[in-house]
Amino acid sequence: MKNIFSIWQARNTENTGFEELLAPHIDRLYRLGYRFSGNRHDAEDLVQELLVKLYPRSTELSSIEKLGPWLSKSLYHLFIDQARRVTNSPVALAEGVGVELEAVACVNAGPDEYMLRQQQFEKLESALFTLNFDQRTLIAMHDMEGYTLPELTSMLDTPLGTLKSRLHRARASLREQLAEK
Amino acid sequence: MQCAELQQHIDDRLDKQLSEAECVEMDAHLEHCADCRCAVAEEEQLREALRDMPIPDASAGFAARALRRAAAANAVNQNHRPVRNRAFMGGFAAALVAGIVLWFVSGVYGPNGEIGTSQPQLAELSISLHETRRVKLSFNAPESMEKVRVSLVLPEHVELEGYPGRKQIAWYTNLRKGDNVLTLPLSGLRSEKGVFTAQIGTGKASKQLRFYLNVEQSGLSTLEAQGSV
Repeated sequence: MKNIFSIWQARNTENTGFEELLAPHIDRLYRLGYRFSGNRHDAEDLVQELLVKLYPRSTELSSIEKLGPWLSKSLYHLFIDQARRVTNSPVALAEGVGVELEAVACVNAGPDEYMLRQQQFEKLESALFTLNFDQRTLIAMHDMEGYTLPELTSMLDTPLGTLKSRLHRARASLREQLAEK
Repeated sequence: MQCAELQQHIDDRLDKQLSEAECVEMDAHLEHCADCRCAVAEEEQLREALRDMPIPDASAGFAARALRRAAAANAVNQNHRPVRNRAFMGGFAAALVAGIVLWFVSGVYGPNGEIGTSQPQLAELSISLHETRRVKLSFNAPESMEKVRVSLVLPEHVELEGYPGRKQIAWYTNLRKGDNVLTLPLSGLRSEKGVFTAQIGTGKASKQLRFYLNVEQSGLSTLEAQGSV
């Protein structure tokens, strides 16, 4: 462990630019991660994993002109990859247990958080999480976090017309879900 | 402009995708159509509610801690890489070893991001008393494997959410090639330190991972929050 510790210190010294580069973006990444995942633990895990993956690419990051949107795009792809991996993963504790564990984790999100949530938000959140990953992330980025359509066409490599159609369908699904609740 | 046409373009209007002329045309219709005004207002309210949905603050010191952990995790991965390469030289047993040398335990570091150094052999993870912490174990398999036995032995002072009182849990699973992530919500029952053991293997070979789980006393604010529920 001593050995690992000394390596960490050495690398940290070599890569001091990483912190300066990434620190201003972490709050926004966390917000976006929360919008995607719906809970603080997963949002923090998501951002943490992104940082771990990006750390060796510090030099490359410093040459990216618009780092904020680039990071958001990376977070989005990481979330989608993770979500699909979890859905398809052969690793599970036992039949049905994964669902139970996730539910427990959500309940433990914190009493303050629950007290602050109003009924409307609970209903809206519940409806949002009936949508598929793509629809939910699109609404999260555009309608909740304020990314514009031109920004999203670049971030998601999707033509404007396609994006508008998807967003329109996502909102229609959301409205249907809200009407049912 | 008719009602049906207008209502098809509400999203475009709110997304600022209409030309000035189209907006003028829409406004003219809205002036004398209460149904369409209502439809636009409803959509605006939905957008406003979405924008206003609350987001809890990240945990205290998250940004600084996450940056430090990114550096530390890369050091750990770099340290393990040669072991994985060596394992590819052997047969199945070696491949299995390769499959689990890359364990990334989310939070193998202390609250401030430091790696525990008091015990030279084992990493250390600190969690707060009465707080659930989701620990991720990542199995990196060099090839897909079937009927792999995964077993966990929890220290007495730690519990896996959903399994009260269970200190040993084992099951069979398949691993696919690449990363296989297992998330364990762990909570500390009392302030103490003990060893968490995870083992993965088949009848031919197995590999064990052990690390310290240190349950620390929660801060006053946490206790107060729980008391108010």
